[in-house]
Amino acid sequence: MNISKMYPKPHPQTAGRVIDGEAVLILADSSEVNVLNQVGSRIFELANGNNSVEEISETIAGEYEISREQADADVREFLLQLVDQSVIILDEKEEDE
Amino acid sequence: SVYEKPAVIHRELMESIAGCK
Repeated sequence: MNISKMYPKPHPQTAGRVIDGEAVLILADSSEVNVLNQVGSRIFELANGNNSVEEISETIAGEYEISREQADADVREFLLQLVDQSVIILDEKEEDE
Repeated sequence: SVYEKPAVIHRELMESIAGCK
């Protein structure tokens, strides 16, 4: 599944807040609280419906000075994990302002 | 900080946080 052109955004049943660089997510559906590490939190922050997966990978590669290939692979794997846990959803269109 | 692979580092059920002469 090619998700690079898709726009991730928080699931309607998920509430999240970034505190000291760590995202704390409350998942209403599963009654879970999840905490993401710093890079995961940054990805969640960028997953606001206005950035495509491709753009998020590019940002992560630039900010953390890693290769684009590694960023692509890690961001994609992480986002699919979050989709699987109903933390985010993937939209085919950019979020309207 | 140094790059580390993105991950969920902690997961907890809300019931265990909220809990209840």
